[in-house]
Amino acid sequence: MGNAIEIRNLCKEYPGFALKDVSFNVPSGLCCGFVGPNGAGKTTTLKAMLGMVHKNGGEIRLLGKADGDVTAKEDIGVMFDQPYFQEDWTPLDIEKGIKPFYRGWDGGQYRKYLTQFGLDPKKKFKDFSRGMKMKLSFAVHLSHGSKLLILDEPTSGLDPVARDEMLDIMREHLVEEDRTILFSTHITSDLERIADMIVYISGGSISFSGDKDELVSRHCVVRGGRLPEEKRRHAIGIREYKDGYECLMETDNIGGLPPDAVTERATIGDVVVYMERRSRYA
Amino acid sequence: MLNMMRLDWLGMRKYRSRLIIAVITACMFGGLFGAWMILPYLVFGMFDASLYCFDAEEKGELNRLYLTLPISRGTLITARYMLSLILQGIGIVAGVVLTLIFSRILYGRTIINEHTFIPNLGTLAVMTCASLLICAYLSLIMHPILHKFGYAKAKIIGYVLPIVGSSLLVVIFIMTANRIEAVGAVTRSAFLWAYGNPVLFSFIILCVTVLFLTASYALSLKVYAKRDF
Repeated sequence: MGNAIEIRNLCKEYPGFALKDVSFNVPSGLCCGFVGPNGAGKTTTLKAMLGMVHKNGGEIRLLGKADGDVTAKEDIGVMFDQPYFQEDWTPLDIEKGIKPFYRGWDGGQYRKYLTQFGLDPKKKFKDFSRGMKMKLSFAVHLSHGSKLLILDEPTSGLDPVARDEMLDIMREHLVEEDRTILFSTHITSDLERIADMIVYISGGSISFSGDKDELVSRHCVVRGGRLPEEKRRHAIGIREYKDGYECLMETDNIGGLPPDAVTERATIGDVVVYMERRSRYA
Repeated sequence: MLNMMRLDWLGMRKYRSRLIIAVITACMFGGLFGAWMILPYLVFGMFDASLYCFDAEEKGELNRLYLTLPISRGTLITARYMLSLILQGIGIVAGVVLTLIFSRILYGRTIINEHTFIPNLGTLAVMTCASLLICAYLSLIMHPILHKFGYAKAKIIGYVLPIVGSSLLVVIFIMTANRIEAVGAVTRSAFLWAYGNPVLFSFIILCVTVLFLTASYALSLKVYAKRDF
C-alpha cells in the first residue's frame, strides 16, 4: 500500500508562528484525522499541500506526485470550512464551471448526488443552508472521482444530523479501494467514528502520527485523591483540585498508582486536551 | 486557459449588466460631445468591466476555489489577461460600428462643444490603438497591484487612484498646453503629425501598448506566483 500523502520536513514561517519540520505519511485507503488546537498549523499545512501558501522548506508528495505538479489536483478534492462558490451560482452553474477542469467528471454521478443529497439544481448557492452547501461541495468533489479528499473542518458549525450525514458520505467514499481522506477537525468524536489514523499537530510541530487505536490504547485518564510524587513525572496535563487530581497517563506507567486512583480508557478528545494542557502549562 | 476564462466569466455574471451600461454611456457621450468619444470610452468601459473579476473573486473567495483546480497560477493570470483583451476587442468592434453610426447621424449638427466628424480608416486606426494604449497603461499600473493584494485591499491604490490620477494628469496636461504657448505648440504639431501619418502613429502606439501589456503580464505573473492565500 503506497502513501497518498507524504510530507517531509515541511517548514513555513510567519511572523509569530512557524511550521517546524512537519513530517507525516498517510497511506492510501485510510481516513486520517488531522487534529490540534486553534493556531496549531493545521490549515497552514493543508494550504501548503495545495500550493496556496509557499513553503520555506520541505517536500510534499500527493498521490505520488511532487508539489508543483498541478495534474495531481485532477484526483484531489478539497473542501474548506465553507465551500467557495459564487453566491449566485446554482449547482448547474457550478457543474458548467468546474466540469471542464476534470477529465474524470461524471455528470450522471453529479446529478445522482444532487438528488441523493436533496439539492435543487436550480437553487442559488446563497440560498442553501450551511449543511447543504457542504453537501454540494461533496457532490462536486465526489463527481470528479477524487482519490484523495482534503477537508478542512468540514463538519464544524453543522448540527448533529448534518454532521452524521457528512460522516456517512465520507464513509461511503472510502468503500472503494485506494480512496484516502485527510480531514482536520476539532470535533474529536467524529474522529472516533471514522478515522483510521491520527496526525496530531501542536505549536507548528507534529506530536503524534499513527494509528488511532494505538493513540487511545496507549493512554488512559487517571483520577484520584493524591498523586504520589514519583508518579507526577508520568502525568500528562495534570489538573489538580482541592480534593484530587486528574491527568492523562501512558498505560505503561499506571502500575503502582494508589488504590484510590481510578483509570479509564482515554478518548481522542482526552488525549488532545491533556497533551495540549501539558504543552501550555509545562 | 479557456476553461479558466469561462470560469472567470461565470464568476462575474452579476456584473455583466454593467457592460450594457458602458455601451449606453458611450452612446450618450458620443451624442453629447462627439462621435469620436465613443470608441475610446467603450474600449475603456470593457477594460474596466474585465476588472470585475477581481471584485467577484474577492466576494466569493474564488481564489481558494481556483487554487484547488488542476491549473497553474500562470494559467490563471494568462486567462485573465486574455479575457480582458477579448472584452477590449468587443469594445473596439462595437465602438467602431457605433462611431460610424453616430458620426453619420450627427454629422453637420452642432453638439455641445463641437461639430461631429466622419471618421476614415486612418483616424479609426489611431483611435483604436490609442484606446488600447490607455488600457495597457492602466493594466500596467492596476493588474499587478490587484493580483498582489486582491481587490478588497488594493481597491484604492490599484483601481481608484490610477483612474482618478490618470484623469487628473490629462486635465493638468490640457491646462498646461492651453496656458503655456510652447507646450501647446508642441502638442498641436504632434497631433498634426499624427493626423498626417496615421499608420506610422498607430504602429508606434501599438508597439508601446505591447510593451506595457508585456510588462504588466510579467509583473502579474511574478507577484501572483509569490502570493499566499
